[in-house]
Amino acid sequence: MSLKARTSKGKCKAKIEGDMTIYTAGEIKDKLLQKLDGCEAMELDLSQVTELDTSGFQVLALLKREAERREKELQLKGHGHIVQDVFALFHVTDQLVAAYAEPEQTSPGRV
Amino acid sequence: MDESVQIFETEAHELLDDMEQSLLELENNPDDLDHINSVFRAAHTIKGSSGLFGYECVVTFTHLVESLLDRVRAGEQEIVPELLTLLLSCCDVMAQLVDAAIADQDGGDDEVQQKTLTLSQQLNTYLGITPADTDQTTVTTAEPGMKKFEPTDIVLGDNWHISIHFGHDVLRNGMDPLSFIRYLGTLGDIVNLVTLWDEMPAVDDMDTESCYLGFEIEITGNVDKQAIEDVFQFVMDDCRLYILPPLSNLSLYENLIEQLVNDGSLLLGDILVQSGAATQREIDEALQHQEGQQAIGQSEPLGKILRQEGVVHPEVIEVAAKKQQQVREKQNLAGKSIRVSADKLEQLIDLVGELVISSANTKLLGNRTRDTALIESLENMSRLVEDIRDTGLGLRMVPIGETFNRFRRVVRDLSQTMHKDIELELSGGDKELDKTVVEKIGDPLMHLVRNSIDHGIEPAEQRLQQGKPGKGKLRLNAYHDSGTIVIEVEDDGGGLSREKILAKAEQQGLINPSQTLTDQEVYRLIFEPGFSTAEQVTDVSGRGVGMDVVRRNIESLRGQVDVESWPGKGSRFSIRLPLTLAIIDGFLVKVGDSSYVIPLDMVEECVELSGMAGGEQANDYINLRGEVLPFIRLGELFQETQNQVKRENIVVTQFAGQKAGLVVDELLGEYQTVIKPLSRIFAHLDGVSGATILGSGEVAMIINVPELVQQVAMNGGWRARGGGGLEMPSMQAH
Amino acid sequence: MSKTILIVDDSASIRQVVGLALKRVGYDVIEAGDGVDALSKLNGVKIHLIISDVNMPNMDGITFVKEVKKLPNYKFTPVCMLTTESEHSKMQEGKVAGAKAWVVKPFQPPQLLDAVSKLVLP
Repeated sequence: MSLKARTSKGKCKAKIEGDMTIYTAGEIKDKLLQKLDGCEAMELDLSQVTELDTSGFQVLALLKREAERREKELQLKGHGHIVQDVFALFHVTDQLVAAYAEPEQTSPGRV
Repeated sequence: MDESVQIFETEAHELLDDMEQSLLELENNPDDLDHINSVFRAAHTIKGSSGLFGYECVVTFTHLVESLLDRVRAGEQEIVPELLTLLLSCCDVMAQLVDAAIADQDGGDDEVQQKTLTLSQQLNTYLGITPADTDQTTVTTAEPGMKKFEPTDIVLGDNWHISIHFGHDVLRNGMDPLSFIRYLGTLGDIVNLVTLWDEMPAVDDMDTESCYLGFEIEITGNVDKQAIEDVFQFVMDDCRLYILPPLSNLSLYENLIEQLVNDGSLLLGDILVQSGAATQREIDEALQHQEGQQAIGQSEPLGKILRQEGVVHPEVIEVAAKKQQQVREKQNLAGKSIRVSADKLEQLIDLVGELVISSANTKLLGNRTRDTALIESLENMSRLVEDIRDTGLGLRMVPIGETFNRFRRVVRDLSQTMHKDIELELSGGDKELDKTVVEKIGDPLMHLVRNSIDHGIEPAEQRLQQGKPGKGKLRLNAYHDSGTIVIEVEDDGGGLSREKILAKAEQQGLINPSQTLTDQEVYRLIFEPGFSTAEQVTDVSGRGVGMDVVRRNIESLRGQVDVESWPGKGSRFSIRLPLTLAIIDGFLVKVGDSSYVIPLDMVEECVELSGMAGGEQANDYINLRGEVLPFIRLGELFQETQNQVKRENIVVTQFAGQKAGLVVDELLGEYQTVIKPLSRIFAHLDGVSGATILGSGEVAMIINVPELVQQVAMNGGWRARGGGGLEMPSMQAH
Repeated sequence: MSKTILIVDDSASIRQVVGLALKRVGYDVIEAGDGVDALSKLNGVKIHLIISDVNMPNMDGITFVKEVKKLPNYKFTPVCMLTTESEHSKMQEGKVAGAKAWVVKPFQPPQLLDAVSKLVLP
């Protein structure tokens, strides 16, 4: 797993590559929250996530809640079918994605 | 118009007509599978052929109708009046759609389109598909990421509700809620799901290895509670799971619980588990909770805990608790009883019978000795023997309720076959009678019940015309009356028709047209052999074989059958039976050189005949305190040698409200009688119902009082029947 | 991307039947004949589910599960035990060790697939 992030003018563009599973979720959580601290708006690209389990999903939910609490904009985008499947199964696509912006239809591997 | 389109048009309209007819039939008989099938078939065929012609709108709409009908056919959707109304409307719209499609306007004009839309929505509601869900399906196919989220504010009647909160450790144990929910989706359609993460702590305390998720899920499909619980089998120790059955299942559970007559299922929990309303785990947990409360000195009933925990709908618990009560009552009775083989019992009763005879003999001999101490001792003994006899006979007594209950199904099935709506009312089921009698009364009762349903209770339309409720009533009742049990079969139908019976009886040569008969006498004619008034011969009560068989069967049990009828209001058949066939209290009399026994419970009093006016005697009736009492001379009837007796006595007997006198030579007093059945050769002797052996070894015939009373009362004397002179076979004691 | 399942059983025929059934529905399968063999297979390859017998030579199922729970990269892998009715205490032991799922022997492939699909998405 790797997290790439670049912040400019208060907006952080982050991208997760690899597995978001219980083995990596702790690390992802810490890094994402740290990035959130240093920005006003975050755009998180999930298109390169190779595996998402409940543990990884919880990190996204936590991030979303935290962003709302701090009144920061969080945009999840570019999620591929792996992430879509999980969101669809949990019926949370609207809550996590659509409420913020029209997601770009990006297929994995094309960012 | 294309020829094939013409064929389609004709066919479609025929099918729609059939569908409409069947739907209307279902209104009366919601369970009629044939009609359900024909409705389904109609929709199915129309859908198929419309598809062939490319009438998309017809196909789409009919598909919905078909889906709903499929569920009806599978028993998943109950037929209720609203459903039939909806389906009838659908039928109309289908006709309009078919016409529109043929006129090259698939979908119809605005009005039809609007109707189609409204009905589709209603159909979807029955099918458990929310508009949001339909949207989701479409969107998912097109753009998987665009699923719309609709909060669950409507709890649909057909959905299971699952509420699950996972424990913190499930993820560490390798269990992933994602997999369970995916798997759940294979059991049925997840209509709605809400993911809850409000238990997730603040950022710093949130451990990514812990699970904080909860789910509220609506699922529809052919699943049971256990199957749903099994999905979460591996996390059962580590989650809070509540499964609420669909509201529409309530009646199903109630029925299931109603049917659970399993003697083992005494516990409320067991009843709920067996009916599928709760799972074993839920009950176990509630029981633990109950124990915990008891430990701290509180106690709540299991039902209340289950209700509080939201495990089971309160209505279901109520039904289950009621059932539990019934089972408990039954078990209490069962708990105090032991099973004994019928043979052993039979043997005991036989021995008691012999003991009774032998004790009577001993008493007789003892009396001759004039030894006061001995006589006193014998008195004591015979009282005890009497008690043993009563108790012994009591062992064979069973309530008639079980026999009655069998008729619930009979009445239900028959009334359906006959297209009649009939309610069965049972009373007096606790009344007991001898087991052998109970066994033999089933057939005659069945015949009477069938007769009432077939000929008695009129079809609903006819009833309504006459200002009666459309639903007919059939009543089975039992009560004890002077040593006999009376079983009544009563209906509120049209009653017996005096005219029809008379006409038929004359036609059959049973009566002479010049005879004037009372209503009662006319009604009794139906028990004559070969008599049947049904205008329409049906498979229910058959042709001709009827009431005479019933009468014969009942009389072979030393019983009597009678009928009362009120034109337009109904009729009542009463079967009067002895409580037991084995032993009776008799009144011993002497006629000529022979002894006869008259059942004591039918003896009213004894009067001296000598004092009566001679003229009256000649006419075979006397004036008994201002009342006309017909009588017969047993001596003449049985052709006994006429001994000169100082004074003749009349034993006044009564049966079913009628009285008759039996003239005898000598009164010997009360006598306990063990009835020995007559062998087949003598089984149909008139006036005699059995024999007994006296203490002295002499055989005494038991007088069939009901038969004699009836003959005497009907004909004003035995002789009017052309009678007297029965060949009595000579009898020897063994 | 298909998921990988490790089957640990000393019976080659069970491995064969179970393996075939799992492959047929789209899982990748790795086989091991006992606990020691199985541990040697946990060498960095991603495993989504372990199906393990209880009674095995060299290292039994319970010990194996305990060992798995010590491996940082595998400790959260779901383990499904293959037990028999008579091994109830073993099953409890396995649950304590961390194998929360089980299938009771003898079983038919559909029963196993049923359990597997509750544990890992195909």
